Amino acid sequence: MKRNRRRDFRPQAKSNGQAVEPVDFEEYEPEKTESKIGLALFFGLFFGLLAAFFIFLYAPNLRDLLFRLMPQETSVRVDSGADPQLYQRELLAMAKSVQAKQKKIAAFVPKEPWLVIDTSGNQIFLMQDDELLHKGVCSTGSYVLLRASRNKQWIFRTPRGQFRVLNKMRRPVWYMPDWAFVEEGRPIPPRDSPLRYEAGVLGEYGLALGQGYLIHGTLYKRFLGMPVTHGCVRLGDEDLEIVAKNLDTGSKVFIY
Amino acid sequence: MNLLPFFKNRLPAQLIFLFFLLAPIFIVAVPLVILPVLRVTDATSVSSRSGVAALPASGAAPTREMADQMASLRLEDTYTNLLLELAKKDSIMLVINLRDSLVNLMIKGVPVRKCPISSYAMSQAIPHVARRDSLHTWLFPPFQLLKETATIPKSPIRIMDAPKDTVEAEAMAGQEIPIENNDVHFTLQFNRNLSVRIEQEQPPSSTGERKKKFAFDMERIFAEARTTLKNLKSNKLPEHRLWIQLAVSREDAKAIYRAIPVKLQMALFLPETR
Repeated sequence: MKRNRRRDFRPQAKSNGQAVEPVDFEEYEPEKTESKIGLALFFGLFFGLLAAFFIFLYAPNLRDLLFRLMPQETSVRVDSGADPQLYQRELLAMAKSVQAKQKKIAAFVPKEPWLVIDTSGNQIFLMQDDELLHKGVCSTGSYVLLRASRNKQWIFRTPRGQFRVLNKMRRPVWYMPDWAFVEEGRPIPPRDSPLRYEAGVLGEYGLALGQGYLIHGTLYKRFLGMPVTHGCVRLGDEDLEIVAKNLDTGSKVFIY
Repeated sequence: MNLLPFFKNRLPAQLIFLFFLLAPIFIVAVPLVILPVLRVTDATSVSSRSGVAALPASGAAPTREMADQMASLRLEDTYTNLLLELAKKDSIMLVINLRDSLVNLMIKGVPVRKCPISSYAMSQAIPHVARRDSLHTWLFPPFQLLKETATIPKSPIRIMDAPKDTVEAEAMAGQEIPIENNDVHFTLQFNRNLSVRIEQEQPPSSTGERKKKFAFDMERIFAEARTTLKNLKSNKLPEHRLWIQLAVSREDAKAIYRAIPVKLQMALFLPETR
């Protein structure tokens, strides 16, 4: 069957000068050309949309890449209108002001011994000024949420921030709070009951930090280094001795 | 994949392919990539032009060395002001000192934990912002935390129901204490368009952790995409988020993440830009 003649879009010569084979218009099929254009449209749109999607997702990275390519000033600008002597004086004044502020910042560090407690690593650092005097392990809050009833629950965590040693005790006696009985499945005695007092469980020393939190010793030494307490900080006997001997009432304790 | 050979010597098909390939790219790239970058760099060049005096007042002018010294001192002055500002607060504060490669946790001006940074990277937009006269107003007052996301829980809370009697209590006491061995990666989003990513320097400890990290990264990318969409809906160009990425040890990363409060304030000391 004879086909209609259509314009041939193919280039007649290659860029390197080689002649292409003469087109046989008798064999020219317009349907094939149209389907190739259709394919081009489909693939173009498909890959274009795909690329657009990735550009949308990774736009921040691409912007960063573009920032890298953008020209930027390589050095500090010099104000050519400024008087160099005045500039020099200003420089000296600023250097002095910075030094004074740095001294003020350094003065925040306590001169007398101070304690740092790391609740995530369960470690203690006894410091004096900027120097480390002693490093040891401790046990801090277990993050257990103990539910007794719908309205009664306790969370056992060590508070964070700056504290001071409010009281230093020798062989402290533990006054057991309600949760200590709830946790052991025992009935809660009245507030003034002798059942609430237990001696010999808090070690040789107790350093009160306020709100019922203490730094004290422990009978459960195998748990040192683990988060197992009800909020207090437990130390081994040796560490407790060193800490108690170095810290006095009023010493700073930092817990983070 | 190079599809062009497929359309070789078929010019209309090639043109159509290129048009439909480039049109969506162009439509997306211009408002999301090119215009936000131009907006920042234009602002930089305008401010730098306005800051230079036209003619010297006297014959001599301050040397470049003096100007560099002044810029460095101004940055240090801003940093000390930031530390003094943070020292006024009772809470735990974060100090990122890129000049000394340290991340400090600070309480009342006292550095309680110093974490060495093993490597860091920062957004290429920061040097552009840093060149602006507005650098000091960008750094001061301290950055405020807006949002945080992490691969570990903020507080590892375990819920326990109280035992009914002493027998049940004894059985519960024998339970093992869970030990946390999770990899730590977290992102802190601050005001003034700053985002700080803190990663552990150790490689993923297991395949599960690697998957968790991948999911965490993807979530960040999609969150950014959601913000972009929100901006576009309200006819705004997306603002380029400035970011700093730090690698510290796993223990340090965990300690930092667990210690920082909800209303965290942060001081940043940038390295010298020469």
